[in-house]
Amino acid sequence: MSENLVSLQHLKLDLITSRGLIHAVRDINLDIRAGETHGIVGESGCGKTMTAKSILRLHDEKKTFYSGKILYNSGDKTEDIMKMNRKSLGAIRGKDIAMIFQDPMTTFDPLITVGEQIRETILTHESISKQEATERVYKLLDEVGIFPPEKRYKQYPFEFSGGMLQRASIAMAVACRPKLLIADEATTALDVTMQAQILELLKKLKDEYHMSIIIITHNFGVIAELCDRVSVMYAGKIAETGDVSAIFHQPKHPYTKDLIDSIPRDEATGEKLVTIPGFPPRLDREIVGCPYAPRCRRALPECQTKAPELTDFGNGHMCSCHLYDKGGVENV
Amino acid sequence: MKKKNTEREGTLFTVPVIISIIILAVIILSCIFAGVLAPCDPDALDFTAVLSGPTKAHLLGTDKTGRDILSRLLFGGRTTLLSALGVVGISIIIGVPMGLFAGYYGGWVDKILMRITDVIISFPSLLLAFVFVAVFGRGISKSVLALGIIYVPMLAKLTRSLVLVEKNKTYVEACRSIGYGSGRILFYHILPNCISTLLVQLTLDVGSAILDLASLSFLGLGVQAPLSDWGAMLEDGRIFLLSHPMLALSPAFCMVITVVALNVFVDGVQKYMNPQERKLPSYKKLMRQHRLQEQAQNIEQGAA
Repeated sequence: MSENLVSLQHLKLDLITSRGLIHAVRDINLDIRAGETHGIVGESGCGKTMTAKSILRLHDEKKTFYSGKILYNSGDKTEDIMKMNRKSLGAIRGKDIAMIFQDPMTTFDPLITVGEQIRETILTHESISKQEATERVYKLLDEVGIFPPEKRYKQYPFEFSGGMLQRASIAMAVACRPKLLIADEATTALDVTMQAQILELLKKLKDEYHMSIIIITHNFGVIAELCDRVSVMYAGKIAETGDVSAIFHQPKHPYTKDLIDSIPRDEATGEKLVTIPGFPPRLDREIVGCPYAPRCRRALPECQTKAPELTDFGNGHMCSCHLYDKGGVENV
Repeated sequence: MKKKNTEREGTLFTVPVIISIIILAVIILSCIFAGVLAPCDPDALDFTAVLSGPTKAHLLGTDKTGRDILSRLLFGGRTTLLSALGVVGISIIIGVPMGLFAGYYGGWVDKILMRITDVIISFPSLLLAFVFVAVFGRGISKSVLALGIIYVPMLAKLTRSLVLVEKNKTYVEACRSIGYGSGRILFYHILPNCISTLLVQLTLDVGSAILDLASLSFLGLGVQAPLSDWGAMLEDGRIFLLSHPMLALSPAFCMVITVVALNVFVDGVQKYMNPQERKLPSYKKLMRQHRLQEQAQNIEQGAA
């Protein structure tokens, strides 16, 4: 337990909307170890972002209903983020746990220069002089590849390109040397070359700052490039968790297999792209049985009626599917 | 000031802004120094020259009781401008924070504040002003207070709607993810992003405040005779519009000039506050600088 930096335990998140409750996250257990890069994959609307945001409790508290625990291990003690008061939460946000958002163009306040916004982040959490903070920002900008930092410091967000802004927002996120960085689809809004550069940058910073990273994406390429461990999410639940190599080479859950099969490959020239038929289930209803059962090619009769339990394949590889019994042996 | 210049590119002082500043300065200064500039006592009656046209003694003529219009304009500017600013100032002080809190916090704070504004809005504004004046008594300062409170709901509702748009933007969420408190997000990030739209509403409010004060004065609730005020002068001169147009036209002209100059000025400020619309040096100027630099480099290289 002690090596877990953040550990989500039975996390449930319901969104209160005008059309009733949306069960966005349904009973998730997820451990983020210190120093690891953890990928969360899944299709749109499966609760990836909701899970990540709940780590910082960024949801509008009037419109969401949480239950479960989010244990955060700050080194000397373990605290439940769910029970923290506003003040201690504010001290953690940005200082210990930082976040990068999907669209860099909207992450910055359009009326304040980029450098100043980064400096404000530092000044909020550390008591150093403005001069020192400015120097730190120059160093940070230089580190993330924004040149010349002195000139870019004074520029407004609209004077940056998307890729440069994403670099700047990474600089802002790592400004206080966080222990955990949450990258919510950080490369989705960028073009392919820029994606590669940003991933490279994240890798570099991770080694330098010894932080854990949670990468949320629907792109398996990003996962393969960067992550140590992966969790595959489906309909607000985790279908499978494991090391990257285990997930890619021995996927257990049919959904993971289907997802990996549907990645476009260059050797499959001329063949039709594999797709998963059907749609994800509606999240405003309770799901009986396995959420993937209606689309699963190997569904068993009990999949429709009983929710599968987690099967442990050893080495942290877990999968919730009826195809395997408790010992991890395939049933069929 | 020097620091500002290095941090902010572009300039506030474009040609229209400079012109409007000059006009506003002339108007304000002449109102301040009305005592020195005015040729006559604004309240002195001259029954030998009632409703005279422009003459040497009375440059803009006299009104129905023989008071010098130019002097009354200068002194009236004081009351008009001060009270218009007072009305807008009161509405800012109450309305903007009200809208900010209502929009940002939502829930019962929003409900209570908005129901209060609904109550104020549901009465015709002049009727409400009567009520206020009836409670507080007559006089310019009381009618300024009354109008200020009447202007609060519109401003509060506008601010609230702007905040509702801004608070859902990603940068607000990013601010929260950094650990900023609500007050800081509200006043340092959301308010500056709303201010350009608010400024437009405020300049419009200045114009209508002058007119509303005039109608209150016309009903005998605002400016008390013999104190002069542009709105009151306009009302007085209305009857003589065909025979002696100067009576109504001169205060009207002053009002138009003031409001237009104020609008142009605020427009400039608004553009300056939005970094994307700031007036930048022209292309020609930049190219010239560029060429000069290149020449200098060439000369240096030649020398080396």
